[in-house]
Amino acid sequence: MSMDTKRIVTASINGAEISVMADNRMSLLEMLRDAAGLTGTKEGCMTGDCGACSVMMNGRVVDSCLVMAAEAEGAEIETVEGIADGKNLHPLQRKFLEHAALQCGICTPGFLVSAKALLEKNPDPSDAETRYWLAGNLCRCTGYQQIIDAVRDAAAEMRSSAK
Amino acid sequence: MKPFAYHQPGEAAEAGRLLETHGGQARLIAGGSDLLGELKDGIVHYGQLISLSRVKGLDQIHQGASGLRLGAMVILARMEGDPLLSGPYRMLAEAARGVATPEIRNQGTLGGNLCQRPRCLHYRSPWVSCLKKGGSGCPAMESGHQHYLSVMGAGDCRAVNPSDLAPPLVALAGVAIIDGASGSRSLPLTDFFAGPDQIAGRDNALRPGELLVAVELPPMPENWRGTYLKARERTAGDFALISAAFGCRIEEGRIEQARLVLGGASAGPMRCPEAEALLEGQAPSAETAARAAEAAFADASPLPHNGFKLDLGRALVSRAISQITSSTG
Repeated sequence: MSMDTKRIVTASINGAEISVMADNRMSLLEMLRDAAGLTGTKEGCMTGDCGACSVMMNGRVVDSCLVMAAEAEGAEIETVEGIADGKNLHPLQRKFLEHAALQCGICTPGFLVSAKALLEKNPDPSDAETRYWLAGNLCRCTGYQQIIDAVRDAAAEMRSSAK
Repeated sequence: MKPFAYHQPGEAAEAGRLLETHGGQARLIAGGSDLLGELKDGIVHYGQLISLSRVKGLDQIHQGASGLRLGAMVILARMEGDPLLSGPYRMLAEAARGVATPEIRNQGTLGGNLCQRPRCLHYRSPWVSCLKKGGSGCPAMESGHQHYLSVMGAGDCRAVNPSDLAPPLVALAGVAIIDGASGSRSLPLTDFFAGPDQIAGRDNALRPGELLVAVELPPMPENWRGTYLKARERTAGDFALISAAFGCRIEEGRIEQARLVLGGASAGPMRCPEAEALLEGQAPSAETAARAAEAAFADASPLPHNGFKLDLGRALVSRAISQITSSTG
Protein backbone atom coordinates (compact mmCIF):
# COMPACT_ATOMS: atom_id res chain seq x y z
CA MET A 1 0.00 0.00 0.00
CA SER A 2 1.36 3.39 -0.90
CA MET A 3 1.73 5.80 1.93
CA ASP A 4 -0.04 9.06 1.20
CA THR A 5 1.55 11.62 3.44
CA LYS A 6 -0.14 14.72 2.04
CA ARG A 7 -3.69 15.72 1.27
CA ILE A 8 -5.70 18.75 0.27
CA VAL A 9 -7.73 20.15 3.15
CA THR A 10 -10.57 22.55 2.51
CA ALA A 11 -12.11 24.47 5.39
CA SER A 12 -14.12 27.62 5.93
CA ILE A 13 -11.88 30.07 7.76
CA ASN A 14 -13.62 33.21 9.01
CA GLY A 15 -16.25 32.61 6.34
CA ALA A 16 -13.86 32.17 3.41
CA GLU A 17 -13.31 28.75 1.86
CA ILE A 18 -9.60 27.97 1.88
CA SER A 19 -7.80 24.90 0.52
CA VAL A 20 -4.27 24.01 1.52
CA MET A 21 -1.87 21.15 0.79
CA ALA A 22 -1.33 19.62 4.21
CA ASP A 23 1.24 17.06 5.32
CA ASN A 24 -0.43 14.42 7.53
CA ARG A 25 1.63 15.75 10.44
CA MET A 26 0.34 19.30 10.00
CA SER A 27 -1.74 20.68 12.86
CA LEU A 28 -4.64 23.05 12.37
CA LEU A 29 -2.42 25.73 13.95
CA GLU A 30 0.27 25.20 11.30
CA MET A 31 -2.38 25.12 8.60
CA LEU A 32 -3.69 28.51 9.75
CA ARG A 33 -0.32 30.19 10.26
CA ASP A 34 1.97 28.64 7.67
CA ALA A 35 -0.40 27.60 4.89
CA ALA A 36 -3.20 30.18 5.14
CA GLY A 37 -0.97 33.03 6.36
CA LEU A 38 -3.24 33.81 9.29
CA THR A 39 -0.60 34.51 11.93
CA GLY A 40 -2.96 36.09 14.46
CA THR A 41 -3.33 32.69 16.12
CA LYS A 42 -0.20 32.14 18.20
CA GLU A 43 2.00 29.17 18.86
CA GLY A 44 2.78 28.79 22.55
CA CYS A 45 3.47 25.37 23.99
CA MET A 46 2.30 23.15 21.10
CA THR A 47 1.00 20.64 23.67
CA GLY A 48 -2.41 22.04 24.61
CA ASP A 49 -1.34 23.56 27.91
CA CYS A 50 -1.34 27.29 27.18
CA GLY A 51 -4.31 28.06 24.91
CA ALA A 52 -2.44 30.67 22.81
CA CYS A 53 -3.62 28.78 19.72
CA SER A 54 -7.31 28.71 20.71
CA VAL A 55 -9.67 28.92 17.72
CA MET A 56 -13.31 28.09 17.13
CA MET A 57 -13.93 24.86 15.25
CA ASN A 58 -17.56 24.06 14.39
CA GLY A 59 -18.71 26.33 17.21
CA ARG A 60 -16.40 25.02 19.92
CA VAL A 61 -13.16 26.54 21.16
CA VAL A 62 -10.24 24.13 20.72
CA ASP A 63 -6.45 24.15 20.96
CA SER A 64 -5.52 24.24 17.27
CA CYS A 65 -2.08 22.77 18.04
CA LEU A 66 -3.82 19.53 19.05
CA VAL A 67 -6.10 19.25 16.02
CA MET A 68 -4.77 17.54 12.93
CA ALA A 69 -5.26 19.62 9.80
CA ALA A 70 -6.89 16.54 8.23
CA GLU A 71 -9.69 16.82 10.82
CA ALA A 72 -10.43 20.38 9.68
CA GLU A 73 -11.70 19.11 6.31
CA GLY A 74 -15.15 20.63 5.87
CA ALA A 75 -14.99 22.43 9.21
CA GLU A 76 -15.92 25.99 10.05
CA ILE A 77 -12.97 27.71 11.68
CA GLU A 78 -13.04 31.14 13.31
CA THR A 79 -9.81 32.81 14.37
CA VAL A 80 -8.92 36.10 16.04
CA GLU A 81 -8.77 37.68 12.57
CA GLY A 82 -12.53 37.20 12.32
CA ILE A 83 -13.47 38.90 15.58
CA ALA A 84 -13.39 42.57 14.56
CA ASP A 85 -16.02 43.96 12.18
CA GLY A 86 -13.79 45.50 9.51
CA LYS A 87 -11.98 48.34 11.25
CA ASN A 88 -14.36 48.33 14.21
CA LEU A 89 -12.92 46.40 17.09
CA HIS A 90 -15.11 43.91 18.94
CA PRO A 91 -16.06 45.14 22.45
CA LEU A 92 -13.73 42.50 23.91
CA GLN A 93 -10.82 43.86 21.89
CA ARG A 94 -11.55 47.45 22.99
CA LYS A 95 -11.90 46.44 26.63
CA PHE A 96 -8.61 44.51 26.52
CA LEU A 97 -6.95 47.76 25.40
CA GLU A 98 -8.78 49.94 27.96
CA HIS A 99 -7.97 47.61 30.85
CA ALA A 100 -4.38 47.00 29.68
CA ALA A 101 -5.25 43.30 29.71
CA LEU A 102 -2.09 42.40 27.85
CA GLN A 103 1.61 43.03 27.98
CA CYS A 104 3.57 40.84 25.57
CA GLY A 105 0.37 39.94 23.71
CA ILE A 106 1.12 36.33 22.82
CA CYS A 107 -1.82 35.00 24.84
CA THR A 108 -4.25 37.71 23.69
CA PRO A 109 -5.66 36.13 20.50
CA GLY A 110 -6.42 32.93 22.40
CA PHE A 111 -8.03 34.83 25.27
CA LEU A 112 -10.17 36.84 22.83
CA VAL A 113 -11.41 33.69 21.08
CA SER A 114 -12.14 31.88 24.36
CA ALA A 115 -13.77 34.96 25.92
CA LYS A 116 -15.97 35.46 22.86
CA ALA A 117 -17.04 31.80 23.08
CA LEU A 118 -17.82 32.27 26.77
CA LEU A 119 -19.94 35.41 26.23
CA GLU A 120 -21.90 33.76 23.42
CA LYS A 121 -22.84 31.00 25.86
CA ASN A 122 -23.16 33.14 28.98
CA PRO A 123 -23.64 36.90 28.49
CA ASP A 124 -23.29 37.63 32.21
CA PRO A 125 -20.57 35.41 33.67
CA SER A 126 -19.58 35.82 37.31
CA ASP A 127 -15.96 36.28 38.26
CA ALA A 128 -15.70 32.57 39.12
CA GLU A 129 -17.40 31.51 35.88
CA THR A 130 -15.10 33.74 33.84
CA ARG A 131 -12.03 32.23 35.49
CA TYR A 132 -13.39 28.70 35.03
CA TRP A 133 -14.11 29.13 31.31
CA LEU A 134 -10.79 30.87 30.64
CA ALA A 135 -8.77 28.29 32.57
CA GLY A 136 -7.35 26.90 29.33
CA ASN A 137 -5.59 30.17 28.51
CA LEU A 138 -2.38 31.05 30.30
CA CYS A 139 -0.99 34.58 30.67
CA ARG A 140 2.45 35.06 32.19
CA CYS A 141 2.35 38.89 32.22
CA THR A 142 -0.85 40.32 33.66
CA GLY A 143 -1.72 38.13 36.62
CA TYR A 144 -5.15 37.69 34.99
CA GLN A 145 -7.08 40.35 36.94
CA GLN A 146 -7.07 42.86 34.07
CA ILE A 147 -8.20 40.11 31.68
CA ILE A 148 -11.11 39.11 33.91
CA ASP A 149 -12.05 42.79 34.34
CA ALA A 150 -11.90 43.39 30.58
CA VAL A 151 -14.08 40.35 29.79
CA ARG A 152 -16.72 41.24 32.37
CA ASP A 153 -16.70 44.89 31.34
CA ALA A 154 -17.14 43.89 27.69
CA ALA A 155 -19.97 41.57 28.74
CA ALA A 156 -21.72 44.45 30.54
CA GLU A 157 -21.36 46.72 27.52
CA MET A 158 -22.64 44.03 25.15
CA ARG A 159 -25.63 43.39 27.43
CA SER A 160 -26.59 47.07 27.58
CA SER A 161 -26.17 47.59 23.82
CA ALA A 162 -28.29 44.49 23.16
CA LYS A 163 -31.23 46.04 25.04
CA MET B 1 7.42 13.81 14.26
CA LYS B 2 8.15 11.07 11.74
CA PRO B 3 5.76 10.74 8.78
CA PHE B 4 2.64 8.63 9.10
CA ALA B 5 -0.34 7.62 7.02
CA TYR B 6 -3.63 9.06 8.30
CA HIS B 7 -6.79 7.01 7.91
CA GLN B 8 -10.33 8.25 8.49
CA PRO B 9 -12.56 5.15 8.24
CA GLY B 10 -16.33 5.54 8.32
CA GLU B 11 -17.10 2.29 10.17
CA ALA B 12 -15.79 0.76 13.40
CA ALA B 13 -15.20 -2.58 11.66
CA GLU B 14 -13.00 -0.88 9.08
CA ALA B 15 -11.02 0.79 11.87
CA GLY B 16 -10.61 -2.68 13.40
CA ARG B 17 -9.39 -4.13 10.09
CA LEU B 18 -6.83 -1.32 9.74
CA LEU B 19 -5.66 -1.95 13.29
CA GLU B 20 -5.30 -5.65 12.58
CA THR B 21 -3.51 -5.11 9.27
CA HIS B 22 -0.93 -2.72 10.69
CA GLY B 23 -0.46 -4.30 14.13
CA GLY B 24 1.94 -2.44 16.40
CA GLN B 25 2.54 0.19 13.72
CA ALA B 26 -1.03 1.48 14.08
CA ARG B 27 -2.68 3.58 16.74
CA LEU B 28 -6.19 4.97 17.07
CA ILE B 29 -6.63 8.71 17.38
CA ALA B 30 -9.85 10.15 18.85
CA GLY B 31 -9.62 13.77 20.08
CA GLY B 32 -5.85 13.57 19.84
CA SER B 33 -5.12 15.64 22.95
CA ASP B 34 -3.07 12.85 24.55
CA LEU B 35 -1.60 11.14 21.50
CA LEU B 36 -0.39 14.31 19.78
CA GLY B 37 1.56 15.27 22.89
CA GLU B 38 3.28 11.88 22.81
CA LEU B 39 4.02 12.11 19.08
CA LYS B 40 5.36 15.66 19.31
CA ASP B 41 7.58 14.81 22.24
CA GLY B 42 8.92 11.80 20.34
CA ILE B 43 7.84 9.35 23.04
CA VAL B 44 6.05 7.10 20.58
CA HIS B 45 5.92 6.72 16.84
CA TYR B 46 3.29 5.05 14.70
CA GLY B 47 3.41 4.69 10.93
CA GLN B 48 -0.39 4.54 10.71
CA LEU B 49 -2.85 6.71 12.60
CA ILE B 50 -6.48 5.66 12.43
CA SER B 51 -8.83 8.50 13.20
CA LEU B 52 -12.23 7.72 14.71
CA SER B 53 -13.68 11.14 13.91
CA ARG B 54 -15.58 9.91 10.83
CA VAL B 55 -16.84 6.63 12.31
CA LYS B 56 -20.61 6.85 12.43
CA GLY B 57 -22.62 6.48 15.60
CA LEU B 58 -19.86 6.77 18.19
CA ASP B 59 -20.81 10.24 19.42
CA GLN B 60 -24.24 9.39 20.86
CA ILE B 61 -25.56 9.31 24.41
CA HIS B 62 -28.55 7.00 24.44
CA GLN B 63 -30.97 6.13 27.24
CA GLY B 64 -32.62 2.75 26.78
CA ALA B 65 -34.40 0.13 28.86
CA SER B 66 -31.07 -1.56 29.62
CA GLY B 67 -29.50 1.66 30.88
CA LEU B 68 -27.38 4.44 29.51
CA ARG B 69 -25.01 4.02 26.56
CA LEU B 70 -22.20 6.52 26.09
CA GLY B 71 -20.40 6.44 22.74
CA ALA B 72 -16.62 6.46 22.83
CA MET B 73 -16.45 9.65 20.73
CA VAL B 74 -18.74 11.69 22.98
CA ILE B 75 -16.68 14.75 23.88
CA LEU B 76 -16.11 15.60 27.53
CA ALA B 77 -17.69 19.06 27.11
CA ARG B 78 -20.95 17.35 26.19
CA MET B 79 -20.75 15.13 29.26
CA GLU B 80 -20.40 18.24 31.43
CA GLY B 81 -23.87 19.42 30.58
CA ASP B 82 -25.91 16.60 29.03
CA PRO B 83 -29.35 16.35 30.68
CA LEU B 84 -29.12 12.53 30.69
CA LEU B 85 -26.14 12.76 33.03
CA SER B 86 -28.24 13.70 36.04
CA GLY B 87 -29.45 11.91 39.16
CA PRO B 88 -27.27 8.83 39.71
CA TYR B 89 -25.18 9.72 36.66
CA ARG B 90 -24.46 13.29 37.73
CA MET B 91 -21.08 12.22 39.09
CA LEU B 92 -19.96 11.69 35.48
CA ALA B 93 -20.72 15.32 34.62
CA GLU B 94 -18.80 16.38 37.73
CA ALA B 95 -15.82 14.28 36.70
CA ALA B 96 -15.90 15.64 33.13
CA ARG B 97 -15.93 19.21 34.47
CA GLY B 98 -12.69 18.57 36.32
CA VAL B 99 -10.76 17.35 33.28
CA ALA B 100 -8.02 19.59 31.85
CA THR B 101 -9.31 22.85 30.29
CA PRO B 102 -12.40 23.96 28.32
CA GLU B 103 -10.40 23.66 25.06
CA ILE B 104 -9.30 20.09 25.82
CA ARG B 105 -12.82 19.12 26.95
CA ASN B 106 -14.10 20.28 23.55
CA GLN B 107 -11.66 17.88 21.86
CA GLY B 108 -11.13 15.07 24.32
CA THR B 109 -13.49 12.11 24.12
CA LEU B 110 -14.78 9.55 26.60
CA GLY B 111 -12.93 6.73 24.84
CA GLY B 112 -9.74 8.72 24.62
CA ASN B 113 -10.00 9.68 28.26
CA LEU B 114 -10.27 6.01 29.25
CA CYS B 115 -7.49 4.86 26.91
CA GLN B 116 -5.00 7.70 27.51
CA ARG B 117 -1.45 6.82 28.48
CA PRO B 118 -0.01 7.40 31.97
CA ARG B 119 1.41 10.68 33.23
CA CYS B 120 4.48 9.16 34.92
CA LEU B 121 7.19 11.76 34.22
CA HIS B 122 9.59 9.04 33.16
CA TYR B 123 7.18 7.63 30.64
CA ARG B 124 6.58 11.15 29.31
CA SER B 125 10.26 12.00 28.98
CA PRO B 126 11.81 11.31 25.57
CA TRP B 127 15.26 11.16 27.17
CA VAL B 128 14.79 8.22 29.53
CA SER B 129 14.00 4.62 28.72
CA CYS B 130 11.31 2.83 30.73
CA LEU B 131 9.37 -0.44 30.78
CA LYS B 132 6.21 1.19 29.46
CA LYS B 133 8.15 2.36 26.41
CA GLY B 134 9.62 -1.09 25.86
CA GLY B 135 12.86 -0.43 27.75
CA SER B 136 14.43 -2.75 30.29
CA GLY B 137 14.39 -0.78 33.53
CA CYS B 138 12.13 1.50 35.55
CA PRO B 139 13.84 4.78 36.48
CA ALA B 140 10.74 5.91 38.42
CA MET B 141 11.46 3.65 41.38
CA GLU B 142 14.73 5.45 42.13
CA SER B 143 13.35 8.90 41.42
CA GLY B 144 11.86 11.65 43.55
CA HIS B 145 9.10 12.19 40.96
CA GLN B 146 6.59 9.60 42.12
CA HIS B 147 3.39 11.64 42.40
CA TYR B 148 1.81 10.04 39.34
CA LEU B 149 2.67 6.52 40.51
CA SER B 150 0.49 4.09 42.42
CA VAL B 151 0.40 3.65 46.18
CA MET B 152 -0.78 0.06 45.88
CA GLY B 153 0.18 -2.88 43.76
CA ALA B 154 3.22 -4.89 42.93
CA GLY B 155 3.51 -4.81 39.16
CA ASP B 156 6.73 -4.04 37.32
CA CYS B 157 5.28 -0.63 36.38
CA ARG B 158 3.66 1.61 38.97
CA ALA B 159 2.25 4.16 36.51
CA VAL B 160 -1.46 4.83 37.00
CA ASN B 161 -4.27 5.38 34.52
CA PRO B 162 -4.90 9.14 34.71
CA SER B 163 -8.56 9.03 33.62
CA ASP B 164 -11.04 11.07 35.66
CA LEU B 165 -13.99 9.29 34.04
CA ALA B 166 -12.81 5.78 34.89
CA PRO B 167 -13.47 5.84 38.68
CA PRO B 168 -17.09 7.08 38.42
CA LEU B 169 -17.80 4.74 35.49
CA VAL B 170 -16.54 1.79 37.54
CA ALA B 171 -18.66 2.97 40.49
CA LEU B 172 -21.67 2.93 38.15
CA ALA B 173 -20.80 -0.68 37.11
CA GLY B 174 -19.90 0.39 33.57
CA VAL B 175 -19.33 -2.17 30.84
CA ALA B 176 -16.86 -1.61 27.99
CA ILE B 177 -18.36 -2.32 24.56
CA ILE B 178 -15.55 -3.47 22.30
CA ASP B 179 -15.66 -3.84 18.52
CA GLY B 180 -13.12 -4.99 16.03
CA ALA B 181 -12.26 -6.97 12.95
CA SER B 182 -13.12 -10.24 14.69
CA GLY B 183 -16.47 -9.17 16.11
CA SER B 184 -17.71 -7.43 19.21
CA ARG B 185 -17.65 -8.28 22.91
CA SER B 186 -18.35 -6.62 26.21
CA LEU B 187 -16.26 -6.51 29.35
CA PRO B 188 -16.95 -5.00 32.78
CA LEU B 189 -14.75 -1.93 33.19
CA THR B 190 -13.30 -3.52 36.34
CA ASP B 191 -11.68 -6.08 33.99
CA PHE B 192 -10.88 -3.58 31.24
CA PHE B 193 -8.09 -1.71 32.99
CA ALA B 194 -4.78 -3.14 34.12
CA GLY B 195 -4.91 -4.38 37.68
CA PRO B 196 -2.35 -3.81 40.47
CA ASP B 197 -0.07 -6.44 38.92
CA GLN B 198 -0.05 -4.67 35.57
CA ILE B 199 2.36 -5.63 32.86
CA ALA B 200 4.11 -2.51 31.64
CA GLY B 201 3.28 -2.97 27.98
CA ARG B 202 -0.47 -3.20 28.46
CA ASP B 203 -2.75 -0.43 29.77
CA ASN B 204 -6.01 -2.27 29.18
CA ALA B 205 -7.60 -5.47 27.96
CA LEU B 206 -8.03 -4.45 24.31
CA ARG B 207 -6.61 -7.11 22.00
CA PRO B 208 -4.86 -6.34 18.73
CA GLY B 209 -7.48 -5.17 16.22
CA GLU B 210 -9.99 -4.11 18.88
CA LEU B 211 -11.38 -0.73 19.80
CA LEU B 212 -13.56 0.64 22.56
CA VAL B 213 -16.79 1.87 20.96
CA ALA B 214 -19.01 2.65 23.98
CA VAL B 215 -19.55 2.29 27.70
CA GLU B 216 -22.89 0.96 28.93
CA LEU B 217 -24.23 1.72 32.38
CA PRO B 218 -26.95 -0.46 33.93
CA PRO B 219 -29.98 1.35 35.40
CA MET B 220 -29.44 2.71 38.90
CA PRO B 221 -32.08 3.31 41.59
CA GLU B 222 -33.55 6.81 41.30
CA ASN B 223 -32.27 7.86 44.72
CA TRP B 224 -28.68 6.65 44.26
CA ARG B 225 -26.27 9.61 44.29
CA GLY B 226 -22.56 9.89 43.76
CA THR B 227 -19.73 12.37 43.56
CA TYR B 228 -16.18 12.47 42.23
CA LEU B 229 -13.44 14.34 44.06
CA LYS B 230 -9.95 14.89 42.71
CA ALA B 231 -6.75 16.17 44.32
CA ARG B 232 -4.37 17.96 41.97
CA GLU B 233 -1.52 20.43 42.10
CA ARG B 234 -3.37 23.29 40.40
CA THR B 235 -7.12 23.98 40.43
CA ALA B 236 -7.42 23.76 36.64
CA GLY B 237 -5.65 21.90 33.90
CA ASP B 238 -4.02 19.24 36.03
CA PHE B 239 -4.27 15.49 36.27
CA ALA B 240 -5.39 13.82 39.48
CA LEU B 241 -2.74 12.93 42.04
CA ILE B 242 -5.40 10.78 43.63
CA SER B 243 -9.18 10.75 43.30
CA ALA B 244 -12.28 9.14 44.76
CA ALA B 245 -15.65 8.29 43.27
CA PHE B 246 -18.27 7.51 45.89
CA GLY B 247 -21.98 6.85 45.65
CA CYS B 248 -24.79 5.23 47.61
CA ARG B 249 -28.47 5.59 48.47
CA ILE B 250 -29.97 6.22 51.87
CA GLU B 251 -32.86 3.95 52.91
CA GLU B 252 -34.53 4.68 56.24
CA GLY B 253 -31.44 6.49 57.45
CA ARG B 254 -29.02 3.71 56.45
CA ILE B 255 -26.38 3.59 53.71
CA GLU B 256 -27.19 1.11 50.93
CA GLN B 257 -25.46 0.11 47.69
CA ALA B 258 -22.23 1.91 48.59
CA ARG B 259 -19.64 2.06 45.84
CA LEU B 260 -16.17 3.46 46.40
CA VAL B 261 -13.57 3.59 43.62
CA LEU B 262 -10.13 5.17 43.84
CA GLY B 263 -8.23 6.73 40.94
CA GLY B 264 -4.48 7.31 40.99
CA ALA B 265 -4.03 4.74 43.76
CA SER B 266 -3.54 1.56 41.75
CA ALA B 267 -2.68 0.94 38.09
CA GLY B 268 -6.33 1.25 37.12
CA PRO B 269 -9.46 2.48 38.90
CA MET B 270 -9.77 0.42 42.09
CA ARG B 271 -12.96 -0.61 43.85
CA CYS B 272 -12.74 -0.84 47.63
CA PRO B 273 -15.02 -3.73 48.71
CA GLU B 274 -13.88 -3.67 52.37
CA ALA B 275 -14.70 0.01 52.71
CA GLU B 276 -18.04 -0.51 50.95
CA ALA B 277 -18.90 -3.38 53.32
CA LEU B 278 -18.09 -1.20 56.33
CA LEU B 279 -20.54 1.44 55.12
CA GLU B 280 -23.37 -0.92 54.14
CA GLY B 281 -26.32 -0.65 56.53
CA GLN B 282 -24.65 2.02 58.68
CA ALA B 283 -26.14 5.35 59.69
CA PRO B 284 -24.10 8.15 58.10
CA SER B 285 -21.60 9.80 60.43
CA ALA B 286 -18.18 11.40 60.28
CA GLU B 287 -16.74 8.39 62.16
CA THR B 288 -18.20 5.90 59.68
CA ALA B 289 -16.77 7.91 56.78
CA ALA B 290 -13.34 8.05 58.44
CA ARG B 291 -13.37 4.28 59.09
CA ALA B 292 -14.21 3.60 55.45
CA ALA B 293 -11.40 5.92 54.35
CA GLU B 294 -8.95 4.03 56.58
CA ALA B 295 -10.13 0.72 55.15
CA ALA B 296 -9.77 1.95 51.55
CA PHE B 297 -6.05 2.48 52.07
CA ALA B 298 -5.40 -0.36 54.52
CA ASP B 299 -3.40 -2.34 51.96
CA ALA B 300 -1.39 0.62 50.66
CA SER B 301 2.31 0.20 50.02
CA PRO B 302 3.40 3.69 48.97
CA LEU B 303 6.74 4.43 47.35
CA PRO B 304 9.31 6.54 49.23
CA HIS B 305 8.09 9.78 47.62
CA ASN B 306 4.33 9.37 47.26
CA GLY B 307 3.10 8.50 50.75
CA PHE B 308 1.47 11.94 50.86
CA LYS B 309 -1.17 10.58 48.49
CA LEU B 310 -2.55 8.39 51.30
CA ASP B 311 -3.46 11.42 53.43
CA LEU B 312 -4.93 13.19 50.40
CA GLY B 313 -6.85 10.07 49.43
CA ARG B 314 -8.31 9.42 52.89
CA ALA B 315 -9.40 13.06 53.10
CA LEU B 316 -11.10 12.84 49.69
CA VAL B 317 -12.89 9.60 50.58
CA SER B 318 -14.17 10.97 53.91
CA ARG B 319 -15.31 14.16 52.24
CA ALA B 320 -17.04 12.35 49.37
CA ILE B 321 -18.92 10.04 51.76
CA SER B 322 -19.97 12.89 54.04
CA GLN B 323 -21.04 15.03 51.10
CA ILE B 324 -23.24 12.32 49.59
CA THR B 325 -24.69 10.89 52.80
CA SER B 326 -25.59 14.32 54.18
CA SER B 327 -27.34 15.47 50.99
CA THR B 328 -29.19 12.24 50.12
CA GLY B 329 -32.19 10.56 51.65
